[in-house]
Amino acid sequence: MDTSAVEAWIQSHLFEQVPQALAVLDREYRVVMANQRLTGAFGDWAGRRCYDVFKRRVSRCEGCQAARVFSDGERRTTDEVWVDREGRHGHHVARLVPVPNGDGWVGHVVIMATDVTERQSLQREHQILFERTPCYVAVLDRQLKIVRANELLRQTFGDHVGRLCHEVYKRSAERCPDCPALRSFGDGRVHTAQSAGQRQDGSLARYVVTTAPLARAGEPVEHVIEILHDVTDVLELKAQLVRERHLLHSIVDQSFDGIVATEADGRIAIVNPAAETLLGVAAEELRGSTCLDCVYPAEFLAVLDSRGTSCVLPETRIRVGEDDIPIRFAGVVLRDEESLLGTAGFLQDLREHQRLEREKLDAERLAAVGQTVAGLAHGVKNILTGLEGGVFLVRWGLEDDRRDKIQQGWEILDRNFHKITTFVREFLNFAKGRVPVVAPTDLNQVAREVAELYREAARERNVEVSTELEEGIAAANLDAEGIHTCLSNLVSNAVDACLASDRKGGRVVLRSRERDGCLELEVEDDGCGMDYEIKRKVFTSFFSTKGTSGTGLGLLVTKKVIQEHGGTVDIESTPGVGSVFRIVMPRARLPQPEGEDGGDGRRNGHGPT
Amino acid sequence: MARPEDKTILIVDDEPDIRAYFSGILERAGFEVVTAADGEEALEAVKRRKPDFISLDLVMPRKSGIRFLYELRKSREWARIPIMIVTAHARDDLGQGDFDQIFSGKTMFGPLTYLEKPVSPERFLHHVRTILGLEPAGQEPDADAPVRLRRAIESRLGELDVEALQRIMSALERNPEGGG
Repeated sequence: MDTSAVEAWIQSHLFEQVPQALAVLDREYRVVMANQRLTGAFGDWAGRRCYDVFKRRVSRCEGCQAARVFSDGERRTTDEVWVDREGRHGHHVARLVPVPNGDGWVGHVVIMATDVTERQSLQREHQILFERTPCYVAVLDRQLKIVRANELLRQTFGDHVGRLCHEVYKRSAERCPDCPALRSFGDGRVHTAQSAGQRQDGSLARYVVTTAPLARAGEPVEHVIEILHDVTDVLELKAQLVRERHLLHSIVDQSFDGIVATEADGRIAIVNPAAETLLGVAAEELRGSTCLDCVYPAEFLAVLDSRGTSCVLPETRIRVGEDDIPIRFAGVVLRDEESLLGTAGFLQDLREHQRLEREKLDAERLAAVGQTVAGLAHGVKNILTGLEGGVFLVRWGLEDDRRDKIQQGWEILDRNFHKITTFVREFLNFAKGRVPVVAPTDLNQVAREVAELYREAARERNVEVSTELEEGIAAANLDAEGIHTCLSNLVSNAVDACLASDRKGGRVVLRSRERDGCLELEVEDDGCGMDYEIKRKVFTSFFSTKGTSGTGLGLLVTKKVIQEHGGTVDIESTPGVGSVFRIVMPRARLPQPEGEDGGDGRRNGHGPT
Repeated sequence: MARPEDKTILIVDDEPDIRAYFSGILERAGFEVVTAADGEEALEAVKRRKPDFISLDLVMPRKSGIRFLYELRKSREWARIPIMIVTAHARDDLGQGDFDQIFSGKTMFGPLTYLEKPVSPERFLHHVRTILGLEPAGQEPDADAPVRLRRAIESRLGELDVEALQRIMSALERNPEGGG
């Protein structure tokens, strides 16, 4: 190929091959030549002026660069915003090159334009990224001077472009001992470090620094980009988490209740010291094992098996070695939808509790004996008065020879001798106390027997004794004879109350029921009822309103027996309407039958000897 | 000076033996005696005929002594009847509250006194006669030997403590038949 062929090729092809839009202007600013790329972007140009083609203007632009090139023959580069054939604005870098003829007069100018619209938007994005990234970003030069800083950095540490990095972050004149930026300058690689500085507002900032060189491979590093990730909050949260975990641990460790927890796989994860003591096993031995019946009562295991979620057992027992220990238990099963996350159990040792309760019952009993001793004087006083009266009447009869008075006095003496005999016997019985014989007992059976005992005698005196017994009350640990005595006392009192009433005849109802784990017995009458004063006094020793027939011990004995069963006796009474005596015995407080559990659960003490 | 024959005395006590005792003392001394077994009966008796004096027990069924007094207070005339409280519960938990209430001066307006059971015939009669103005107020009749002995027993009973009682009981238990 000869030179002219090359020239021809260049003429015909290069003009089209360059990746730029090319146009040739004459001195009238008319486009006289243009390549395909330009035609594609800006459309038909033939005979049109450049400002019309590129900017859709009707007159020349202000500060027209082409005009200057025509006048001084210098090349120029200019940023232009042009409008393409679709009406879209685009950024272009245009290079204007004069085409002079022999004497230097510029007859044409060549425009070589590059579309930089895309590059500029990339730059904008980069700028936004730089400014808006939620880190502190700075560009440092080799002296560690900040040459650029993003918005967050300026806001937090102040606008200090031009100052040294360590001055800005740490208000320190010294470089940091382990400066990652210096290392990046040294080896051209990325480095990280952890450090702390001081914000503009004086607060402490902890951050992770990453430095990266800003240079192409092989070129010397002139700048380093430094990115600081603020981890103050993260570290604070972490510290808080540690504190809370610590708190939780110490709560679990210090708890008086035993706490046990298992993981999703059924392995025991937590056994606190109280649980260790209660179960008598070292936590290390249990942790990681799957021996759930070592730590949970059978009822909770049943709840687990039946896919239940929780259970509360006010009183249950757990096997510890050879012993069955009474405990209070609460258990929860943690589930996420269907899958098991774990379980937790809270165990309270009831041995001490039960011991205190037994002591309390003993103390109550002793107090009752004390009251009785105080009341003894009054019981004796009443009998003494009776004896004194008898003696007076007999003496009168003897002195005045009145047989009727001797007879009356003698009867009084006789009655009061009987009374003091009964009194001493009942008193001894009460103070000594028979040892209660506790065995599973049908409460209704006892109630029926008592009602039967009084029914006939009461009917003869026009008093109807009936029963309203709730069916299906399970056998309970009771001292059947003691309960029999209590009900007999109450029914006997009720019949007497009916007889003391102004009305003729009466009605006594003996009821039984079970409510909320409490056995209840009621004796209701429609007899004379009681004043407030009498109600207040009925359970006090030797209080009697029954004249010669009462020793005042019946209700006292009743109260004592019910106390031994862990129960209470209450009265509702209205004068002239009737009374209700109500015995309430929580099943949980009932005594254990003799001979079980080595007597551990027994409440019944022996009387003073 | 008035004579006992002119005075009617109401005895209120729920124990028949004590009613028999007190009315015997007064009848022998020549008084007219009416008895009642509780506050309700006592009120009926007062309505039938106003007594000149009332001997009153406090703790009784149906209507207690203090409720009876509240009823009496409603009548200006009845509120001035001389009252003598005779009770075994004067100074213990059972009687203290009622007792303080009665002797607060707000319940009754007539002469008011009290005796603690047991009481000797001489002392009972002396109190009744003194209040009714049948004998000059002064020394109680000298307590004779049996009365002194009884007082001693009473005071010992008052001092009884659990230990002493336990000793008595163990003695009785060793020989239970001898105790009954």
